[in-house]
This record gives sequence, C-alpha cells and structure tokens, in this order.
Amino acid sequence: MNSIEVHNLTVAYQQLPVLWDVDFELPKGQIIGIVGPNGSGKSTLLKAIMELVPLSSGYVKILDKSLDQMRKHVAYVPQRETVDWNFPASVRDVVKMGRYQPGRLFKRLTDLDNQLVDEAIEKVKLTPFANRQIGQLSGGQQQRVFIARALAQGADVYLMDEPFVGVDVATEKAIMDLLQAMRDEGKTIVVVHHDLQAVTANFDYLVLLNTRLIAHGAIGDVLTSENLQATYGGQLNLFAQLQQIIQEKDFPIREKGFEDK
Amino acid sequence: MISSTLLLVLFGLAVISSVAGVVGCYAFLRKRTLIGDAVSHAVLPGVAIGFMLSGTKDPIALLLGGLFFGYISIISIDLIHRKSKLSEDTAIAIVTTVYFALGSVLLSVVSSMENGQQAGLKNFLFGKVATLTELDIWVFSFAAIVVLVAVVLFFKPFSLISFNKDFAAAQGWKTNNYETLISVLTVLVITIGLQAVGVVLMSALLIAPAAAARYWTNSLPKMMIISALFGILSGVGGGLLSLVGEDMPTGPWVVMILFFFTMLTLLFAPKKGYFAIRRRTQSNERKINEENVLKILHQLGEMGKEEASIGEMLDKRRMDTTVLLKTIKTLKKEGFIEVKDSKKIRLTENGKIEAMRVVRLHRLWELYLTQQLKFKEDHIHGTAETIEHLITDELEEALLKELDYPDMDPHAKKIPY
Ligand SMILES: Nc1ncnc2c1ncn2[C@@H]1O[C@H](COP(=O)(O)OP(=O)(O)OP(=O)(O)O)[C@@H](O)[C@H]1O
Ligand SMILES: [Mg+2]
Repeated sequence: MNSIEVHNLTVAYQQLPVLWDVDFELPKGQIIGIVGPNGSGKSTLLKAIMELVPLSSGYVKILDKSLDQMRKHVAYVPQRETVDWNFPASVRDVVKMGRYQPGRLFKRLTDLDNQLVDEAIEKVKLTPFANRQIGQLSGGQQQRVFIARALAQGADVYLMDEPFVGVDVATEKAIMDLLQAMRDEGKTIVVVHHDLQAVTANFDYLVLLNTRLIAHGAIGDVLTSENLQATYGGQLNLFAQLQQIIQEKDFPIREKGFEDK
Repeated sequence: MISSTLLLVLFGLAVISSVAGVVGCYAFLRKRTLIGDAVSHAVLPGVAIGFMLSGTKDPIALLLGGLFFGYISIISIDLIHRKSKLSEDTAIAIVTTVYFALGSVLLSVVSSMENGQQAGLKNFLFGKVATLTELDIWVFSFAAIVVLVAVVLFFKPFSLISFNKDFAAAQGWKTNNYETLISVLTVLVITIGLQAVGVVLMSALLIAPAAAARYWTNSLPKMMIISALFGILSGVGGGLLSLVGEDMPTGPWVVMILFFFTMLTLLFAPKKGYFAIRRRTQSNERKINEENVLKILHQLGEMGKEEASIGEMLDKRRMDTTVLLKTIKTLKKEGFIEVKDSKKIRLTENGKIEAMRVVRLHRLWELYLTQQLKFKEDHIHGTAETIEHLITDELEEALLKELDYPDMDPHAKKIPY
C-alpha cells in the first residue's frame, strides 16, 4: 500500500499553473524529501494534498482512501512564518490544538488527550517551556512546537513544510533523530527541505519538483546530475544559452524596423 | 435614589459591552479591527430601513436590518478587494463611507416621518442610553447572551482559525463556515451596541478592551474575561456619566473610560507595562551596584585591607558617592557587610562568599574570552564588567567545565573558590 498517491494533479493560481500534471506514489514508512527551487510548488503540493487549495484537475489518495476518510491519519505542519506568534497561547495550548477534532467539537479534552499532549511536548524536548507564551521562543523552538502539535495528532502520515528553516545545527540533529524514530515506528514523513546534502544523508526517498514532476524514487536512483540539472538548471540554463547565442552571433537585441510606434 | 429603570439600563449596558469585549478578542487577534469599524458604519442604512419598514423604533426590525447590512458590507469589502485589485484598506474605506452616507441620508428621511424623531440621527451617531426602551434592553441582552453562548461553544474552531487557519482546515474543520459565523456574531454585537454607543465609536468598544486585555495575560480565555471586564466598566461607567446631563451622548463617555483603561494598562501591565519595565531596569541596576561594591571590598581584601573607608573604596573604583552610600546601606541590611564604629566597612562571612562569587565569575569570564574566544587580554575588561552580573549558576557550571576548573585569570590573579 502507498502512503500517498497523487494523480494528474494540476494546481493554478490565477490561471498560471504552479503544479502541472504531477503524478506519483509514495511508499509507507519512509522519510521522503520534496526538493525543488523557490517557487517550484513544494508548499502548494502539500496544500493540495491537504485540500487547502482548489485543484484544477487530478486527485489525491492517502493510504488508499480519500482525505476526508483519512483526516485523523494525516498531520500537516505548515511553514512557521504563516502564523502570528504573538497569539495569546502557551506551548501547551498550541500542542493541544493537535487534539481538536471536528467530530469532537463540544467535547472537552480527556485525560488521554492531555497525556498525548505532554508526551508530544516531551518528544520535542520542550517540557521546560510548556507554559511559556509562544512568542517568547526561539525560531527553532517554535518549529518544534509545530512538530509537537502534529505528533499530538497521533497520525500515520506527516506532511512538514520546511521544518528545518531557521534551526541551528543541534536542533536540526534533534529533529532529524525524532523523524527517524518516527519512521522506525512505521510512520511516513514527507518533508519539504532546501538542503540537498542533508536530504541525501538522512532521507530515504526523494521527489524532485519544478512545477512538473522531475523524478521520484529512492534517493540513490533519483539523485543524478541529469535530474538535478532538470530541477534546478531548467530555465536558468535556457537563458544562459540564449544569452550566449546573442553574444556569439552579435544579434541585435531589438529588431530594426519593428520599434514600437 | 436608584430607580429600577436605571438598574435595567445599566444591566443591559453591562451585558452588551461585556459581549462586545469578548467577541472583540477575535476581531483583534484576526487583525480585523478596521473591518469592525466599517461594519459599525455600514449597519446604519439597515437601522434606517428597519425603522421604515416597521414604522417605529422596533428592536427586532433594527437587529435584522443591521445584521443584513453589516453582513453585506463585509461581503462588499471582500468583493471590491478581490475583483478590483484595490488594496483591502481602500476597499474598507469605500464601504465605510458609502454605507455611512447612505445610512445618514435614509435616517434624515426617517426623521421627517411620523414617529421619526425617535430615531434621531445624532443618537445613532454617538449613542444615547436614554433612548433605550425596556423592550430594547431585553431584546439586546438576549441577543448578546446568544452570542456569548456561541463564542463559548465554538471556542475550539474559533481559536484555531484565528491562530492558524490552514491547520484548522487540514484537520477537517469547515473553516469558511466558522469564519462566516464569527463575522455574523461580530455584526450582531455591533448592531446591539449601536443605540447605546453609536455608529462612530462602536468599534472602540469592540477593539479597545481586547487590545488592553492582551497586555495582562498570555492566555486566550483569560484575555476574553479581562476584555469583558474592561467592556463592562467602560459601558456602565460611560452610561452613568452620560445620564448626568440632559443632552449628553453615551459613546464619547464610553470611549473616554476605555482610553483611561488603556492608559492604565500601558502604565501598569505586568511585564510589558511602563512601571514593570522600569522596575526591572532598577532592580538590575541595584544588583550591579551591590555586586560592584562587594567586588571592591574583595579586591581591597586581596591587598591586605580587611576594612575600608568610603574614600578608600572610591579610590579603588570610580562610583557615584550617593549611589555608593545607598548601596552600602542595602548591603548592610542584607547582612553582607558591617559598618564599624570607625565608619570603616568590612565584609561579613556571607558577604565574603558572595563577593568571591562575583569576582570568580568576572575572572572566569575574562579567562573564557581570552582562552576560548581569543580576545586580546587588554581588550576584555570592559566586556567582562557587564556579563558577570548575568551569569547564572548553571552558566557558571558550564564555564567551569569548559575551562577545566582554572586557578588563575588572564592577568594572573587568583580565581577564588
Ligand atoms: N496564494 C497565492 N496566490 C498566487 N500565487 C501564489 C500563491 N501561493 C503561491 N503562489 C505562487 O505559486 C508558486 C509556487 O509557490 P509555492 O509556495 O508552492 O512554492 P515553494 O516551492 O514552496 O517555494 P519556496 O521554496 O519559496 O517555499 C510561486 O510562484 C508563488 O508565487
Ligand atoms: Mg514553500
């Protein structure tokens, strides 16, 4: 069984496609990196999987079912900058949000919920900060609050948008260890990450994205210079070649006789 | 003499303004403060049309009219913003002024109708509790309590979408529905407060209590309670004051009291208030002074002087004389030093321990700067001066480990343990 299947997915903002006919399946129980240049649609891909943006075409399956059937089994960790950290809430308040469920709208959190919340805080090593207002945390600690909130959801599949941004080496290692421990428990973790080197060293599976799907598969199979060229070199390379042609042939930048009137 | 009518009016004001304070927390946290102002201006045509249709000042017609136009105004802002590429605050400004103008025109038509003077334009602009009838108060209080119950029942989704809407949607909450619900509740609160506080100043009753309450706590439920209290005090206080004069509007009084609480907050709030900040700086300064005096005495002791006069201390280190005298007084009170009959000062046993700690930290830090961070020896004294007052016991332990329990500082002075 696959953790996530994405079929013919196209997403556009104001007519302009940001994801174009993306199609892949992801395995279960692995740490999966989503890698691509800025603006290549990585965040949009996670949002599309969580149905946070309208899909122009295609569909997504999670553990062979629709998202609505599997809500409780997926946890989403948004980019840290998307919220205002001045919000009047403590670390524990935010992690508790992981235990909120639409099906339990009017129910109070149970002892079990609170226990799961405490465990999640413990796992990301924020116990000493549990009662601190979230604005009084460092960037790396805030990131771990978001991860703890996802952990508290007790999901099987985790989608994390850039959890390593603004995090120091020690925290990066701590988060990485945590992800690996989760994987060893059979969880699937999909991580948008910028650092290709860290991905190569620590992840199992890779999705290369640049509006279109460039490649996906086990790290070793996917990480070819050809694929990287296609992911990162694409437009830049084309521009570079065009520029060279212009220089070599002494091409006029503006054609004579076609000036705008 | 307190009449039962007056009590009823005050009760109504308390209910309305407390609920405004609670709902205002969401408007404030969702950064919708300008929209609150737009809505309160935009309900005016609804109020006028409600009056026209019912032919009298009927609270239910007024509520429905206000609700309708308030909600339409929110949709208008959204539409203008999205379809015309105008920025959101431009859209808000357009909607605020156009609806307000329309409302003013309609209300002046109403005033010329039979019974129309009841709905005097001025009363709706600045509010007048004296125009509230008994029926008004019961209807508005009931509506306010409905809003309050909704806010309590839907605490989870409301706080979720206020903090992180995408996450809420990912959990499967119907975020659009809940956003609509918050908007409707906000419009409702604005409409029920309109007669008492007025169109122009209603948004202050919505936002100011929340903004002030945010200073007093870091917990959302507590913030709502404090905000409600500020609301009640301002609403009731403003109502009372406005009843003193014949022709006095209520809204401005309410806002004056709100302003008073906001000032109070800025001055006295814990941690972020003016006095809290001042207290912190002062206690830091006091600590620095005390530790410096102890250090002087320790250094004199190292030179063989067990006792020192004020003059000798000032020779060792430049210090403001009044500050020195004051610090000596506190240190004596705390039992760190004793003053001999000869006016000479010496460290007590406790004082010696404390002085050793300060000197040790200073020298450890200097050593750390030269050894680990490779600072030049003659450059470090100034930096070490401030840091030594900040080093906690845990940091000291870490320093000691890192430096492997050294004996001498970079100037070859003994590090006292
Ligand atoms: N709400 C939006 N409205 C319009 N365009 C958008 C919106 N969100 C994203 N885009 C555009 O879609 C493209 C893909 O954005 P996305 O955030 O998915 O990229 P990304 O790969 O996550 O980039 P980054 O590495 O910078 O986070 C970008 O060109 C961006 O400008
Ligand atoms: Mg992104």
